[in-house]
Parts: sequence; structure tokens; C-alpha cells
Amino acid sequence: MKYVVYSLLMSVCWLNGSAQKVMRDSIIHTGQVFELEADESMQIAYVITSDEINHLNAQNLNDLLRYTINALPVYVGTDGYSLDYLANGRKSVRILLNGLPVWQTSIDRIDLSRWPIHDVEKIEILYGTSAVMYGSNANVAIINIISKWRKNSISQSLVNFNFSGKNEYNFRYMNYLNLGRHRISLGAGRYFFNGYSGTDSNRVVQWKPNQHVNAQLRYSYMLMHELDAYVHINYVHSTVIDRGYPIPNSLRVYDNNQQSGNLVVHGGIHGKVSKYHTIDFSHVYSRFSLKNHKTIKILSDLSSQEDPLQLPFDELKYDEYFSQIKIARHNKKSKIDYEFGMDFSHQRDLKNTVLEAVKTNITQLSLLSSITYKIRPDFWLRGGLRYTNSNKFSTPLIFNTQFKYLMSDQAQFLVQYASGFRSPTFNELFYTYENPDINIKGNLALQSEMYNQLNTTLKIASKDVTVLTSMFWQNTGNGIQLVSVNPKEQIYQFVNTKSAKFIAQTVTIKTHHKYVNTRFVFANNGVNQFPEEIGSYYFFQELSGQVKINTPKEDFSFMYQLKYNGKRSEIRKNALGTLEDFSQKSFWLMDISLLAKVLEDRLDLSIGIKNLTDIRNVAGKFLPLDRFSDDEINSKLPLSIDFGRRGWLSISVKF
Amino acid sequence: MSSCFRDEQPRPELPLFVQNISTAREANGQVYYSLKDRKILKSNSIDAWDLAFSCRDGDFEIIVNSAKKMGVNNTRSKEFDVSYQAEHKHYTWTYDHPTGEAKNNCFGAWGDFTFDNPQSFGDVYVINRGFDKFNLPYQLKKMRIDGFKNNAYEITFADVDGDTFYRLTVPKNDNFNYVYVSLEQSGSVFQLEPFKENWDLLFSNYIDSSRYSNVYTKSDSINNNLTLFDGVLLNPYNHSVAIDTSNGFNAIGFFDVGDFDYLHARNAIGNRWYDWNNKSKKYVLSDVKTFVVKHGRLSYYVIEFTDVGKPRRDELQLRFAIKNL
Repeated sequence: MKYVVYSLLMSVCWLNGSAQKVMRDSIIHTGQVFELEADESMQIAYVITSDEINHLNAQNLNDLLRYTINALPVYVGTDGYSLDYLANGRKSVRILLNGLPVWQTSIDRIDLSRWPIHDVEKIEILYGTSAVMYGSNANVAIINIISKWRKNSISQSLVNFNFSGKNEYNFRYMNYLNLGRHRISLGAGRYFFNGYSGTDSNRVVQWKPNQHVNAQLRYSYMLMHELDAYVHINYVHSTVIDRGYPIPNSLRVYDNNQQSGNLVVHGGIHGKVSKYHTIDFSHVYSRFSLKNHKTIKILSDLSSQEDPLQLPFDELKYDEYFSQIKIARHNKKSKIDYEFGMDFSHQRDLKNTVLEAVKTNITQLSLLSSITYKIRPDFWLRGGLRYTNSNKFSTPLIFNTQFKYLMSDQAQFLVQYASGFRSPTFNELFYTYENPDINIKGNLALQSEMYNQLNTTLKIASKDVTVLTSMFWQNTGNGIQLVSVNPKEQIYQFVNTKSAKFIAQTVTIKTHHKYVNTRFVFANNGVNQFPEEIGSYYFFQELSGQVKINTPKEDFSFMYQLKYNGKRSEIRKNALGTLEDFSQKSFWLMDISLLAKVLEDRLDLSIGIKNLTDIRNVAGKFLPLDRFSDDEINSKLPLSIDFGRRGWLSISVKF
Repeated sequence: MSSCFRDEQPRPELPLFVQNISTAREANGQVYYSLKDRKILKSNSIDAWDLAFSCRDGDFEIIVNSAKKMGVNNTRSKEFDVSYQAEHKHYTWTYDHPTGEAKNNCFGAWGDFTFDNPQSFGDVYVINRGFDKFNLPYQLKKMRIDGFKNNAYEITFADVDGDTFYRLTVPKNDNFNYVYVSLEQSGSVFQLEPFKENWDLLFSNYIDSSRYSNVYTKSDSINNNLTLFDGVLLNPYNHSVAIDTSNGFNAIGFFDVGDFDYLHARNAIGNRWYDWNNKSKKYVLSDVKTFVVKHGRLSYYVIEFTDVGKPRRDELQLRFAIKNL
């Protein structure tokens, strides 16, 4: 409670009674079918602009999110980076591309560092549950990547070369065509990391050499003014070379060449069909495949053989067909706005098609509706419901209630009380794995994990300063956890048993100036994983800061970015039912960068230093409770944050 | 695509590692060795213990200390309070099987193991505690296994002709292969081994079949079939051994390990790596002196014995080379 008082005092002192009517003029895409000015939204969006992405030289989603508040990317070796979001794990955050799914909710392995962010207008992060609108996993936040269109010329191409002092060599090409009603965008890129400095044969550091090649095609046809038919194809192929450590006192190593492919196709019709009506009729096909080519190598003569031990998760293949139709009415002057629609998802495990006479697929059909009622111009209410029916598990009715009170032109107060859910994954439902130490069996009786959440936000904005304070309470029930169900036979299953409580407070202070913009965010989060048994919270703090300076002509800019992750120390129950300590020391990330636009904005030159604090491995241990491997389950890995301080150079040519 | 990644340079071969082991009955007659760590983890006197109780889940085997020539006689009597004959000559002794097979050990099946808590048959065993460093017999004991409750063995023992008896509770500990018991005085329970995951070889005396070696002429004969040998025993937990008869230490690489047959017998290395040379009156290395030791799925070691000597009756000196594959 004292944090609430502090933040309110802070915000009052900052504004000093001289607030003026200025709200930042930005459009928010996330949280509803139609686009809204930020002040009209019932939720607060944290926006990362393309300019910030350029200044951070972020090549992929992981590079970027690690600098944002409440996000802790966790290095998981060959599988790249998983995301611990608001201490809820990655399964409580939904990642979208232009409002549509990128990754299936039913697969466990998602690597944020394989998704490029080359062609991004901005990224919107919407805190709080959006489960009524976006379904499963949209519980603590939505991360929505908004793609860029360049409309100011018939044709424009962009070539970017990007290097860093730690063996990163990146390239990307984009071309935009505007031909009457047709808009086409073609792009390709390659991210290449040749492993941590030092010869590979030393094999003393764990950074895996990797290469991600991506291609994309976007086509849009303007059916009507503000109504487009579109197709958007993204494909990412990744190669990760996992060079293992030698077996002690030997020259034998176990290597893995991991190949994975991720295809995402979006298509449909989106936009306004009348002055007030917006429709979104979209289809998504996504496909994810992964193959581990494991070898045993002798380092003295570099002879190698295929590793005969092939495990079930060495080859994965999933796909999903998703479609939705949403219709919304929005009129600024009307008292009532509404949205309704339905979505359908059919996800398949293509590698293991049948388990115990049950097909390994998950089908979900949902109906959703939401109404915004402006009781008075300064008093808005929004309520929504989502009904989900699945062929494999049940999900209760999901609700959402929001309240917005515009106290003055400068101040508004938002409250949300909502529920959310996380549907079981393929592994949790179907996975069967046997070895002498642990036998995991699928659990076809599994149900959705449930969330209840209350959050409040106070926003006070003046011409020069915006202050936001948010409080966030969340209870998780029916949580899915791997537990021993038959100790004698050593059988483990995912069951609905876990409960947890989470509280958080965030204070954001933004200053706006013609030449200097700053943003500081402080978060204090508390997690209690044993509300029934132990009933104790552990707290951790985060701080994010950004200072950006522009010259009057905006042809030269400087940015300083920092992120502080406070120490974490908690107790977790592992799959064996024993309590283990989870700990992580505090660490800082700091970047500085300079960007110069020359030749009349045709050439962008930028240089910077990433990770001034030279963080690589952070002392601590991480229990990857949602992973499956006899070697990895419940093992303790160092939390690897980054691969160290490095200078970088980026050259972009537009023509 | 992966060819873009930096090529790896070969690394020089690792230097040969040679280990000397010297054992002496009283000081370190039994030596536990780790091939992974390349060091002696623990050692103890041969006289330190009498019985060892299995810690393996679902297993209730009891073994005796063969290194001091221990044996057991099952009287088939249920009467513990009566006196039994105090001289060795009145009994026929059975000895543990050198391979470590539980069903052929001298205690054998001491109860009905089909229960969650095995029910003992209640037989009274006379324990031959072997011979001391002067080759004089230890006093005989009588013992009854009362049962197994709360993950612990319960035993009662006494001097073979005595009426003062002692009860011991011997709890299992999953970190070890066996928990050890001494029947000296009122008895004691203790751990001798390193953690079962950590060690590979045990250098110790042990009883083996005489016919498998021509070494027995120089060793302690137990009876017509059995002899006390110096040897190398295998950790029974997750270990196996292949005997190399044709390749040689240097020629064996990791990709050859699949060509061997692996034995789980505790005496798979045993005493087969040395012989007694009648002409020189010395122990010499035999033709079969190279072995591949497998631990779990990932660990393979080639060992080759390069020297052997026995300066005194209760002492052994040996040298072997180790190669981690």
C-alpha cells in the first residue's frame, strides 16, 4: 500500500498544479477491433516505436523485450530464449502480429530470439488481461507487433547492413510498392551469430552459434477506403549449432544441429465497412517444425557419428488453422459501442497424431462480445464475455469489466476486473515419455488454467509530463503443474493443482520536450506460489529508463537506455514435489546509441554500444519446470542474459 | 547454410593418465576409485565391517564381507534363544557369489518379499565373521532378520552360544548401494562407500571361483572350489564392463564401444588381469588386461593394468592407465 501512496505523491509533486490539456496523439491497435486514439482506450498501452528499436539495434523480439519492464527473457540453451513475463512464465502473455496469432498456444517451445522485428512500425504492450478479445494466454499482457507500410512513394527499397563486435553479421532488404489500390511489401533478412568470441574448439562458453533467415511477403488490396483485403506471409528458418562441453577428461562431445521452421500466413479483410462499423475477418495458418540432428564427435580427429539416442522431442511438427470474424461499432459521439464475433482454432500435433486412440489435436470455438457504455462523457463502462468450447478440455465463461473515469482533461482513472485462461498444451495433454528415472504420461482430463485479475491505473498528464501508476492483483487457480501421481511407478502427469497470487505496482513517468524525451518506469512485483501452504510473498523490483535527445532537424539523435532487474529469491515446488530455492542476482543492462540521417534521409548511420555493463551469465539458478528432458527437467541453469558488451554499426540505405 | 559457421580445429590428444594403487589390509584394504574424477574417493580396513544391506528400492539383499573370508550357515531353526555350536568345524559355510547375483548369495531370500514390508522367515543364521590379520578366526555370531519396516531392516544378533542379544535397525539410504553393519560388541551401522553415483571400481580381496584362474595356487584357499583373491570389483549401480581381448588400450576409441559385450558381474574385471608365474615366483600381468568400463549412458573408460605386485600377504600394489572415451 505504501507504494501507492508514494507514487501518488510523486505524481502530484511532478505535475505541480500546472497541468495542461495534452494527451499524446497516438493510435492504439490493441485491445479492440477498431483503432483508437490512446486516450479513448480502456487500457493503457506501453508503446515501443521503430525509432527505439533502431536505437537499441534490436534484431529480434528478445533483443527488444529484455529492455522492457516486467519481461525477463530466460536463456534456455539450444531452444533460445523463453520469456518469464511478470513472473508468470511465458504462457500468460500472448504475442500477436497485427492483432493475429503468431505462435500456437498449444506448443511449449517458443524462442523469441528467432522472430525478426525488421519491418515494425511499433510494438504495443497492453498490460492486464485481454482474454475476452484474444482468448487463451492473454492473461497478464498482450504484445502486439504492428507492421509498417510506407505510403509516401510508389516504390521504396531499404537495405540494411548490421554488424557487432561479437560475431553478429546481419542483413535485411525490404521493398515497398504502392500501385493504386495495391500495396506490396517484400522482404528478406538474415541474422547470423557466429558464436561467442574465442575459438569454437575451446567450447568453454554456452552461446550457441545461430542463424535465422526470414522472408516475408505482404500484399494488400484496398477494397474501399479504410477497408483492405490482405495476405501476409512470414517464414523464419533457424539453424542453431549447439556445441556441447567435452565429457570430463575426454575429447568426446555431444553436438546438436537444430533446424526449425516457422511459417505464419495471415489473410483476410480488415477495416471499416461504414462510417462506424469495423470488421475483421481473418484467417491464420501457422506451422512450426523442429528437428535435432544430434551427433557424437571426437575433438582430436573431428570424427563424428549420429547419436543413436533420439528422444521424442527431437522432432516436432505442429500446425494451426485459426480464423475469426469480429464486427465492431465505434462512434465517438455515441453512448454505446459494441464488438462481437467468434473465433475458431484447430491445432494439430503432426508428429504424434494419435495417443491411446485419441487424436492429438485441439479444437476450440469461441463466441465473444463486448459493450462499451458511456454513461456520461466522463464515465465509461465496458463489459465483455467469451464462451469457449473445446474438444479436449473445458473452459469456464470468461468475463471482462472495465471502468473509466475522466476526472479532468488531465487525469483519468481506469479499473479492470476480468478473468482469463490458459489452455493446456500438447505436451501437457498428450506427452508420453518413459525413461528409468521419470515417466511422464499425458493427462486427457486436464482443464484450462484460470486467472482472475483486478487492476487499476491512474493517469495524469500535462503538456510536458505524463505519470501513470498501476496496481495489479491476480489469482491463478486450477494451475497446471507436473506432479508425481504414482511415486512407486515414478509416473508424473500435468494436473490442475497449482494456485498462485500475484501483485504488482508500476509507476511510469514520461517527460516530453521538443528535443529531449525521457521515460522511467519502476515496477515492484510480488509472487506467492503457495497461498494455501506457506502464504508468503517474495518481491522483486525492476527499473527501466530511457533518455532520447533529438536535434532540431531530427537528423541526429542520441539514446541512452537502461534496465535494472532486482534480485529475486523465491521458493518453488519442483515436479518431484520438493521445494527448491530459485535465486537470481540483480543486474543492469545499459545501451547507448547515436543515429544520423544523412543524404536527405536516404542514408541512416547508427552506432552504439550494447550492454555496457557486460552482463553474460547472472548468478542464480532457473528451474525450467515446463520443459521435458531427462537431463534438463528440474536441472539448474545459469540465467544467461546477454553475450556481453559489444559495439555495433548499422547502415541503412533507402532508394 | 550451417557451413557459414566457423570451422572447428582438432584438439591435441589428452596426456595418458596413470594411477598407482597400494592396498594394505589394516590401513586401506578396500579402496573405492572414481574413473571420472581419477582419484581414490574412500578407503577402509578390511576388518571394518561384517554385513552390508542393500539400499536399492525393492531389493532386500544382504551380503557378507568376503574380503575376510566370511560365510554364513542357515540353521533353518527359528529358535534364537538356544545355544549353537561355537566351533567352525560344526558348520558348512556358504559364501556370496562372486558375480554379486543376489539369488546366489549366502543369505539368499531371507523372507517373503512380495509384501510391501517383507516378512522374514525368522531363520537363525550362524555368521562366520572370517579371519583376522593373523589368520585367526573371529568369534561366530548367530543372527535373525526380524523384518523390514519403515524402510529399515531389523536384525537381532548375539554370540553364537550367548544369551545376551542385540537389536539393530538398519535404515536404507538411496544415495548408497549398501549400508554397512559391524557385529562387533553391540553392533554398529555406518556408511563406508562413497555415493553410489560417484565411484566405479573397488580394489579389495574377494572370494572367487578357483577354476577361473591359475592364481589360486598362491592365494588363500577357502575350499575346493573357492579362493580368496586380490581383485577389482565393479560398482553394481549402473555399471558394466567389457573385456578387450584383441584391440589394445590405444586402439579403442569411443566409436568402438558398441562392438563389445558388456557384463554386469561385480567380478567382471576381478582377478583375470594378472597371473602367478611359477618360474619367477611373481605376479605378472596376464594377456587380458584391458577393460572398457561403462557408467550410465554417457561415460566410457578404457583401463589397462600395467603393473602388479604383492610385497606382503595382505598387501597389493598395482598400476593402471585410464582413458576417458
